[in-house]
Amino acid sequence: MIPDDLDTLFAALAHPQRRLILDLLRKAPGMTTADLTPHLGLSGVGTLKHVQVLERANLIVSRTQGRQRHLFFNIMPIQLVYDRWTDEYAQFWASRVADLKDLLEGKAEARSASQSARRTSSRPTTSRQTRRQKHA
Amino acid sequence: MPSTTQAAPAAALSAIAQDSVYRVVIKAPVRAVWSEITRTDVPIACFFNSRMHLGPGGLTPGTKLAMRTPDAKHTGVVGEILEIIPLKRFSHTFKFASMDEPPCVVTYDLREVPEGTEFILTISKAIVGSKTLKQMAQGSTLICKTLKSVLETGKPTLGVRLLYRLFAIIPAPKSTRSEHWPVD
Repeated sequence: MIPDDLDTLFAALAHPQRRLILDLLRKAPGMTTADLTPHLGLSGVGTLKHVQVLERANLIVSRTQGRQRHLFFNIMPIQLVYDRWTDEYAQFWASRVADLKDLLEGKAEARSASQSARRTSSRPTTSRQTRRQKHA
Repeated sequence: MPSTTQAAPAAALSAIAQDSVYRVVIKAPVRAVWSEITRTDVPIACFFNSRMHLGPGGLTPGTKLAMRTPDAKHTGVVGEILEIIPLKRFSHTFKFASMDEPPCVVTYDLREVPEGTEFILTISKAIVGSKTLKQMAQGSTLICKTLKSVLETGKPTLGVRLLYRLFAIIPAPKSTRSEHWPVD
């Protein structure tokens, strides 16, 4: 995402009424501006202005059916922002996933087999064995 | 009232969910985006690294399609092409081979914009409360962001590449074996 897109996105999300619109559309996709208005306590024009800000930020996609314009929440800009800052941290998990792969492919099995072989050759004496040795 | 409590989930399960819409703008020509989502020669990174297999009709309405693992042994998704408008729209039914649920409809709409290509993925006719709907909600964001990443950088993001490595080692259920899902 280019910086201008990010500014538009964060500006759109900065208003509580616009976040409420996104919540409403998430729960009931396809609402029209007229459907949203009673939930916001605004005039139709006021609601429309907020919807336009969200459309510019790509957070709402509209579909026209007849004379009605249905609105849908588009999660993608938020997903891309999330990925922008989290993907580098995913590198941390790369080694963990590689370990898991090794484990599943049997390398861990080979490792445990060699460990058990070592244990058998140099098994430590138990406390009971130590006591018996002392008595003897 | 047991009858009421039993009827409620059944009624909910048969209800059709509202459409879900996912939109991204990709800095690539429409032709490149179209080629990527309709190719059959190699696995498609944005479709969970699966390869699209088409019936004898090819890329035309009515042809069966299957999204299979790169070795073609297992099938993740099956469907039938509903609409093809080259460089503009690709729509098909979508059913997970591992789930005993009715198919939903997936539509990819492409439009040229000054920044490149507007790509809109729409999920429709999914059943409310179905596993398919839940899976689609997670999968759709991955499809959009991976398509964008592949066309803009040449590869999926690191997180997605790791996810695909995991997919490759997790055993698939027997029900998804490709012999159960022919496209001919």
